[in-house]
Amino acid sequence: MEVRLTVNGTAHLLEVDPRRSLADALRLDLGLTGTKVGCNQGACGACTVLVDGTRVLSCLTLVCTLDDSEVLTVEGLADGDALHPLQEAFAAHRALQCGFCTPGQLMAAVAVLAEDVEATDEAVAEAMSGNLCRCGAYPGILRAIRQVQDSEAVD
Amino acid sequence: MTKDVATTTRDWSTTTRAKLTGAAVFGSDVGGGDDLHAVPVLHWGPPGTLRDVDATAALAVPGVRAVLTAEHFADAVGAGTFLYDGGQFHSSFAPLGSREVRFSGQLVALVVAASPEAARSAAALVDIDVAPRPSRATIPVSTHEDALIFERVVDPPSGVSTSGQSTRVTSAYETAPHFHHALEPYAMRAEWVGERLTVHHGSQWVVGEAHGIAQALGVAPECVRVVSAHVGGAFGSRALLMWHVVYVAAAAKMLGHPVRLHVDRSVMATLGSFRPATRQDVELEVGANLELRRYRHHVRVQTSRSDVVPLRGLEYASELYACSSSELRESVVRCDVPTPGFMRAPGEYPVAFALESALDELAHECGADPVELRLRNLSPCDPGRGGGPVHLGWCLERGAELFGWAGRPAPPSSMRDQETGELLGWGMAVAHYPAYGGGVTECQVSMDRRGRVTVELAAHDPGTGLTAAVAAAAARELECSAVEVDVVLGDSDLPLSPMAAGSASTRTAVAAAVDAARKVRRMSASRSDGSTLVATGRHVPPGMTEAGLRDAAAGRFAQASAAVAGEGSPLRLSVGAHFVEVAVDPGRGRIRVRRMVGVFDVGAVLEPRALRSQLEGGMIWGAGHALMEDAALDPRSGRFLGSGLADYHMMAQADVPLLEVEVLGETDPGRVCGSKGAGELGVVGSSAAVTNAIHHATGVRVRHLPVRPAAVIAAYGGV
Amino acid sequence: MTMESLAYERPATLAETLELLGRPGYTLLGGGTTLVDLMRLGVARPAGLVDARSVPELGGVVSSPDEWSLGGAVTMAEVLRHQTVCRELPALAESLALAASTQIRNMATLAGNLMQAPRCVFFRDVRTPCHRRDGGGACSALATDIAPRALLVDDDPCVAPALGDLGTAAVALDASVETVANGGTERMSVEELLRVPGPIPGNRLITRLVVPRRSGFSAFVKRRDRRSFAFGSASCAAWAAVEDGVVREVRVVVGAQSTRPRRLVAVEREVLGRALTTRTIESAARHALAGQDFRHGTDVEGEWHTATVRQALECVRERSRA
Repeated sequence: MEVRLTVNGTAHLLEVDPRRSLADALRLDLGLTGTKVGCNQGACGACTVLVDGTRVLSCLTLVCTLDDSEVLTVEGLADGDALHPLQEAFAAHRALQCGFCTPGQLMAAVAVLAEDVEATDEAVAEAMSGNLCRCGAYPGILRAIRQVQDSEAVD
Repeated sequence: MTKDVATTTRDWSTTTRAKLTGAAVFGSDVGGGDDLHAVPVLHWGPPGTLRDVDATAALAVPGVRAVLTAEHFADAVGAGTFLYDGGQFHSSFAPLGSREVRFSGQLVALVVAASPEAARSAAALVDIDVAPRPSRATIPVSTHEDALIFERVVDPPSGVSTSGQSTRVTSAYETAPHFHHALEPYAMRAEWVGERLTVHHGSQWVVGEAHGIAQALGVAPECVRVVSAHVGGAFGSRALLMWHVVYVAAAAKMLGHPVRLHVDRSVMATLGSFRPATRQDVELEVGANLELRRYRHHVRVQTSRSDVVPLRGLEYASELYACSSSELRESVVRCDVPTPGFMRAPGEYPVAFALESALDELAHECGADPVELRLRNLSPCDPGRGGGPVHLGWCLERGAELFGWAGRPAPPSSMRDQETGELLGWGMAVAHYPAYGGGVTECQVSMDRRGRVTVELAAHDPGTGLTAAVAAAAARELECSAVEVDVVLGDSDLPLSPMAAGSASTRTAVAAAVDAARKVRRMSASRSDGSTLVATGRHVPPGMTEAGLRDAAAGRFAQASAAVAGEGSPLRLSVGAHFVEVAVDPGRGRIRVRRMVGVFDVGAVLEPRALRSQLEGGMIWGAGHALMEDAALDPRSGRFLGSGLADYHMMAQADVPLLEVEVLGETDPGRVCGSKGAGELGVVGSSAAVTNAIHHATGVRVRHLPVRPAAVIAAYGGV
Repeated sequence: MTMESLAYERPATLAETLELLGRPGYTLLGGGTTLVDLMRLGVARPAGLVDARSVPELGGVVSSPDEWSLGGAVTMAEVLRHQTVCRELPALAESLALAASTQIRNMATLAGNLMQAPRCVFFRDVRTPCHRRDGGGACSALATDIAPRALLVDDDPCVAPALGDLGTAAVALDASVETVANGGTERMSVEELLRVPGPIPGNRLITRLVVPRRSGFSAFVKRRDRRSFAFGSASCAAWAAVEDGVVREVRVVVGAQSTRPRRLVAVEREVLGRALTTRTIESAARHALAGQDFRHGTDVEGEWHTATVRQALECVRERSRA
């Protein structure tokens, strides 16, 4: 079936199997492999993307349900060479090791900034707990998000 | 030297930038439009004999190309050699090599289809008929099936009771089996172009895998290329060649198409290895002035019916403390499980849990401070020989100071959080990891006329900072900025590198890169034209034998030991001290780790930001191993009862305590680059520090991991 | 029927939805957080997916003086953003906030969450017998010593725990669902809905979750080894109407340690007519196992269950004093 989808600002018309997940559509049909599949069972958060501004698990989202939706993936965060403030902060705080969960962490973090999550370590940690990091780069991830959250509060 | 003015001076490597923008290509990201898609079919029932695989319904699913079983691979796939038999495989047992099902969760078929959806749909329709046999998956209490694989007895007690006052503890400990669960699944792609195979997947040993795949497929090693540019977490899970890699490669050949394997999380656990369960007995005795007189430690570890995988943790742990009389034994117990493997500090983690718990019990029994007990008994190390736990005393004292250990009241259950009412406890334990010499590492460095440097080697960077450390070292030698250095790695076609294992690969890679870069630098002094300068470098670790050199060249495992000067000489160790605060809330049924302080001696620091994150990650692992990680195994069927991430819990962001890490950073003259390694150190001992803290909070001793809060709180006396 | 002919329909009206759901093998798609997972495992093999999330009757959070009416297709996150609902119905809000992760709460619907399939490893493996999935036969969980299983069971052979937290809170809050079929609309209590596991008889579609607005105090507590993004090992929701310091009405419901959201009548009886003091709670909680089939539990697990009930009642007490 046909699905019209805007991904990172670019419109696509996809012919898909109704069983195809958004994650597989991004990775296999559109070649956007920045979105990772860590479990394909909704239990790790690595595949997190934004659909119409809301963070969802792309492995459990069927792409056929997204006709006329807007999807934002990690490839859409930077503006040309200029990284998103969260990407800058992740680098500065060494918020990654292997980098496999990083796209999902970043997309969840983008959502956290928009979700009105209380600017405390505890609230942000809870809001980020749907994204597992086996390397245990959690302290850096938390510091990075808190720094951007605080700097936005000042602005 | 010409400098590229356009070069950014920002403080992160191109690798980090690629990972942050989604540009980094992992093995599971590689694919092409005409790929076929495969999924594994596992038998989750008890082991036995495969009577039939009925693929009729599966083959009727539109888009399905093949359901491949043992009979299809009979001619295409030969034997593979297990690591300890001189090969590269994680197990000598080929799951699709016969009709034998040796363990629950074994691969019995591969479904290949035009789309992953069709493959998955068909996989669920494959009917498997196994005639089960009786099986036992866990370590029995009885030891009559044990096989002793290590024994070292030093000056056993004469049988006469020791004179004077003495305190003795005798305790039994158990650790649960664990899954690595690196976030990148065992997804992969195999493509043949003519007679040449290229495999893309996450690997810790591209060179070894290429040789192993070639052997099993009966082709020359140069016909196989394994690429693993980025690795989505490793921890030992991808150290050895897994059989499904060979079958997918064979399928691609048979079907005449590239094949991509999709591995959903809950089928991942039994395709590879796991951290085996242990049962351990420890006996410790001290005299009146706290000197250790007796150390007896027996480790019993699970292994499979197919292979013997030793833990070998005792010989290192026993280097930490001086003790006149010791008896160390390790036994393996054959179980109906997949062959276990190496998971972050494979031997050191379980052994340290038992030893460091027993030391805490001993300190409690004789009313001594746990730090003081350890300081009194540190193994004396000879600075001339440089063996043993150099600087452990400093780590203990500095850690105690940072943590505020001096204010600790000795009796358990004597601290409460004034605000929350939670019981507080402070515990500590020692970390150690052998500073292996590592493997033979080669490297090519080139510099073009504009000063752009390229470093190439087969090595792997699963987030350990190897890339950045190599770039920095080459830049230092060639007097340029690290951002002018491109590091290309993770490819078996590149210069030889060993398995990423033993916390040794960063320093050996740096050493080889430095060797090559120095040659380039010398060449540049005499360069007259604008040609690109190319040189190769090589690092052979001290103590590497002739046989080791031959093995390395042939793609076999060869690692120089942690001995300072050949076998039998003192072992060199990275060491550290963990200090942990837990809070126990009996009313809400909750135990949490609130604060961890770790102080470590890792030798020279090669990449400070990666190092800190690695040590923090290790400490988080230790807390997770203590509080939640459990690959629950049904003793009868041998089935793992929760192999997905919703069931097998690892620490999430909300569980992470306040962490403080300090590193001594003193160059160790006995190891290359002055570095002793840090990748595995952080997890060692940290679980014991947590359970020791739980004892201090509640008076309840936890000897079986993971901690069951219900049992601890019930033993404490409820609310 | 395999999924090869899988159809996807997005009806705009309730009538259309009912017509589609009448077709053989067609099933309702909510957030997909369970269904898509089960389809991939081959446990669910629908012929068609009916995505009714844009049907007006299934959406919206509306109130009358007597009750809240929450659309069956409303997401868990939408309810959590509704400040009045969260303030009035803390047990409901807590059951949602403590479930899964933000990503999943953004997707999962209330009706889907109420009817959540079991998480049992055997249910999820099509090649292992499962009484629940197969509609009969043996329960594989009972053949192992260590499978996660409910402590409080009925005669039904399935021992999978009731991990859907919303159902537990809904029973404590005396909530009902409105269901619709071609015969018309019906209301049934959530307690009745979840009494027997499995789909609603008569192929009825849940349109709304209806929660009474009655003055009282409620709480939902959940115990788990990981602090977030984990199912419970035990959970309890409690609601009490307190007048002049005395409990006039009370509902105490356990979830994760039970095969279904289960009222603990013996505990309720001990609390009723008394002031909600620590002593009352202590002695009431001792009845947490009274009249229950606890054949699969150990003493430690019994204490864990009892302590969870005590914790929920303590929480209600604190709120009633605030």
